[in-house]
Amino acid sequence: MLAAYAPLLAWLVLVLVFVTGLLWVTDRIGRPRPATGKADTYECGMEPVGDAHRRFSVHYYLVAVLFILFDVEALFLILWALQARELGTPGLLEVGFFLAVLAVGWLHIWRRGGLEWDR
Amino acid sequence: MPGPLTPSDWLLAAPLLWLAGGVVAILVLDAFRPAARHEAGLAFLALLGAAWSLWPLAEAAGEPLEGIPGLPVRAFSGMLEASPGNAVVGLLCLGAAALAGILSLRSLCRLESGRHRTALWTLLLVAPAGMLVTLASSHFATLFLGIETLSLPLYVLSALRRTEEGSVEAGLKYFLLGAFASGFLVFGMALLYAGTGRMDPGAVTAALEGGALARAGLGFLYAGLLFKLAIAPFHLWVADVYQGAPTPITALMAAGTKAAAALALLHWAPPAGPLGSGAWALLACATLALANLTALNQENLKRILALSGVAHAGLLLFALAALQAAPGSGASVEAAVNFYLVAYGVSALAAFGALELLERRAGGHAEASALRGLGRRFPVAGGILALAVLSLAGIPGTAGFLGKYFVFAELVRSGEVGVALLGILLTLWSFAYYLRILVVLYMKDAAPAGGPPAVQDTPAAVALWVPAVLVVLLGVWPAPAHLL
Amino acid sequence: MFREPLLPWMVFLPLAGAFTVLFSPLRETGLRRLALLFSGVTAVLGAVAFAAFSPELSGFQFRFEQDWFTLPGLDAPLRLALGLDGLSVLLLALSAFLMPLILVSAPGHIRHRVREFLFWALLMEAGMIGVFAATDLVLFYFFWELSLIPLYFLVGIWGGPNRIYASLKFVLYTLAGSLVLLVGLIRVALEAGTTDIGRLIEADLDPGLQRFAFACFALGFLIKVPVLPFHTWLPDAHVQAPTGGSVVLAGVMLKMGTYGLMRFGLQAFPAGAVDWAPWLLLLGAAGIVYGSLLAWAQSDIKKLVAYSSVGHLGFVVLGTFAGNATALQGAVLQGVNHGISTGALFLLVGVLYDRRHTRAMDAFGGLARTFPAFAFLLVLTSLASVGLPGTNGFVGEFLILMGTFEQHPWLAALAGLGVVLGAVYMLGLCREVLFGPVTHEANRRLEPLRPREWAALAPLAALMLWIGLYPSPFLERTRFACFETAERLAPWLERAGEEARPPAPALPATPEPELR
Repeated sequence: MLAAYAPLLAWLVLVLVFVTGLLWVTDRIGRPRPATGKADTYECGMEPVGDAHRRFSVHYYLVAVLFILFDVEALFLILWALQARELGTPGLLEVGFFLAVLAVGWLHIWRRGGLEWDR
Repeated sequence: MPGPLTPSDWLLAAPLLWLAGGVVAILVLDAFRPAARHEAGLAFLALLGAAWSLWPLAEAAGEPLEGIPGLPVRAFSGMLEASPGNAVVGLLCLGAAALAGILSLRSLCRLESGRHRTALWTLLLVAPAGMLVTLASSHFATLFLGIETLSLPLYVLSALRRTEEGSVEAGLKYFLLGAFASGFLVFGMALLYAGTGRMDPGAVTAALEGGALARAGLGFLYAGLLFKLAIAPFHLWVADVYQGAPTPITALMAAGTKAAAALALLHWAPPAGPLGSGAWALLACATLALANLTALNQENLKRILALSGVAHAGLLLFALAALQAAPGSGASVEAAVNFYLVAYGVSALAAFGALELLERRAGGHAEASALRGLGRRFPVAGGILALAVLSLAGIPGTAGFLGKYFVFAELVRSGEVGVALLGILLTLWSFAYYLRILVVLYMKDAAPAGGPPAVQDTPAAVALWVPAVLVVLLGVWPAPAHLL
Repeated sequence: MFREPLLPWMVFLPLAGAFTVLFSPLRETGLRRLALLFSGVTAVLGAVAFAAFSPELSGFQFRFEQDWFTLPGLDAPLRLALGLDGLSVLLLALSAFLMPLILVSAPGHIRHRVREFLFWALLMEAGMIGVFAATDLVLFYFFWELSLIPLYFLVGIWGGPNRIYASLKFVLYTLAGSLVLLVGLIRVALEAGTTDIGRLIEADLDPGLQRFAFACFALGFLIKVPVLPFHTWLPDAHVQAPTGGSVVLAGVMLKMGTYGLMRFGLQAFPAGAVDWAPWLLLLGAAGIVYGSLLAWAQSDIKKLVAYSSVGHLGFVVLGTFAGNATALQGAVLQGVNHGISTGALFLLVGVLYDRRHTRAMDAFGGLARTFPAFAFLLVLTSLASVGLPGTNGFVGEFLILMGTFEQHPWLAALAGLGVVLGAVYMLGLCREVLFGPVTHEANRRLEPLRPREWAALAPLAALMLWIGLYPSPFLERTRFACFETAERLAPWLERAGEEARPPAPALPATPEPELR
């Protein structure tokens, strides 16, 4: 089974040889000419302004995480929806229970101010 | 194929439902009545309920399994499987959470004017739920779910003192390394599934007969589990995390996480086969040696106790070695492991709990220099810590001795007398640091009192008696523990 | 009948006393009296056990049995089983007898943390009595370790300047042995299916198992005794321990090792004993000479006494493995003798130390004139330690040498050299300390012996003379057990291809004529 990966290995070796070879050749035959322009962040000429360490409100991250959380939970709904008819009433009740538990979490976040990201 | 839940499904689900119900109730209450301080009461109610629903199973412990139909209990189409002995260990996990809660009442609960109360109490319920699932897991899905459910709350709880560098470091370190280990675990499961097409413990047997892919998966799976159990070479996080985390949480980690991970490992241990007992015995010896060597030079009592926990996890692996060497000894090895986990658990709870109380008197420090002579100034907490340390060391008359006895008895019975001799001499090493704790507590002149005077904590002082009494009781009269 | 509950009470009383003292509201003096009461009653019970012990009965007497719990792999439950036979009765009585004396003398050197001291002392007493009374292997191990931890605290808290090092060394050494012993214990329990000592002795275990078990058990016991290469913890522990700790250590703790060698080494694992005996005999004889030479070279009195213990216990080991009943009987008695005379020596060293706070030999001199009562007791005890006829030491050493000579004349000669060396250093000690000019002014104004010091020393002195002049109550109680043990050993000795000798008949109950 692993034999199927042999071309991949060959390719990997090729890549490594090629890249290291290229770097080595450049280093040997090139002449370094340092210049101020080369040290710029963006060589295209754009002037960087301000500090790279911009601060975002921590609430922003909180909301982002919450979004992902509930977004992922939605996946479960899709799984249920695909089988909704076969699962019938018990399935509906179960997914309803699932949603109710989710709702409690959401309620808690909402009441405790977790959604007020611009506060 | 969904069907109606069977009685055994309910039996194993009931404790989880109690805990989850407690979480939901706390969240709802906190959403609408944030000023009301009912979290602790609800959490204890949920823990009590969970213990109550687990009791009928635990009660059957100690009986020969063949005699009782339907044991071990299999639930959810075999995704969970628990013997009565496992249920006793489950009770230990619940008790650990309860004790961590009681110890937090006057400390963590009041942190930052109680801002983290809700987080604390809900997570203290979620973590034991994860432990219960882990220790009964017999399917990749439940194993992974359980491990994640127990780990995530502990990551947060470790970092609960978020203004303290050590606590944040503990949380982050535990989280990063734990996530890494979970990755190993999942990858291992994937490879095993790819190699064998199975997701139950039978996959292990199949993998041993299967190809390289499945064997590699097995390696990854064990790496993930051994990380949680803190076996060398995956033990390096333990000292930092245990030291940085708030001590009540450390107690929960030491007693609960270890128990859950150890039982999971036992469930997923390969049957006697090509792997042989040598690998486990080697891991056990390496863990004992490394942990003991590291612990000798520590100044912080929490770190010493953390490394002692690593050493104890290593000792447990001898039971696995015995299982490998003598196929068919499954039931007695499991009994030995269950007893060992309970014995270690109550000792660790007593030790960390007493240390927490002493630490508060020493201004929040657990360094040997800060705790000098405190055993005399605070005789109850000091005495309980000393007793727990003697139990961890395995002195007869304490639970720790019988635990050690049972594990080594399994090893001797499986014919590995040489390994037993080597292992027991490695435990000798640990006495050097256990005795050092006694030296700090009783044989040094007291350090000048530092820090603000500690709050009188009656609930914690009373609750500590429970593990302390259990340490002695299990040591001199283990019959009522239903584990033998 | 008092016979059945006697031993449980002897174990329980000190245990109960320990916890009563711990939680009692009494203050210092009251606590001391309370502890003395508990250990005093225990001592009385010990005397009753000694007096009521029937010399003609074989096997265990005063048996007490109670089911405990079942260990996996064994067919019967463990039992809280206690009993006495000729090997243990003297040591049990000695343990019970020594503790009140220690508590009486304790105010001299234990002045702080009295409550804890009494707690540990009583706990240790329970452990020591339990070791000699237990007739179940696991119970024996319980008590064995139970007596270890208190001594750790006694040395570690109330000891000398280097106490933490000494106590750690002592515990680690002893534990190394007892952990190996534990592995042996587990294997014996699993293969024999029982932990009852009586049944193990009767069982005639498989010789291979016996050899393994003997090696494991003997290592634990040899470290405890301690025999030559394992002895280095002893001087440290003795020198650093408080007087009471030293007395217990010398008087009882070390005997636990020799007792274990006899009970398990000889009785339960005779095949192993016969295999290993030549080496142990050699070690014992070497220990006598080596310990004596080291003692000779000491200038610290306590160290001298400590090293003399190594020598004396060499005698006991020699007698234990000589292979006949005479030597064994001597070994049992010599164990007791050593407990009495070395215990008294440590108490005497404590008397000096309490007054002068030094133990250097050259700090004293001429005490015979300034401190006559002390001088009398020291001379008496030294002579007993040396083995002068008329004192207890003579009876034990004589029996050991006689028994050993029958089997191994050269070893007996070597041991005889040890006796001479013993006289050299002990009498040297007396000369330095007691005679000659008074070199230090402080020695002119030494406080005379206090009543409590008399109370601790006088009973020991009386015992030395009693055993020396009329040993038959002691010998007749040990005779039967020693005879049976030697008998058990005999077939193995024959099988080992040695020149088969019938076990020498035990001594007649009447004392040797030259003792009169």
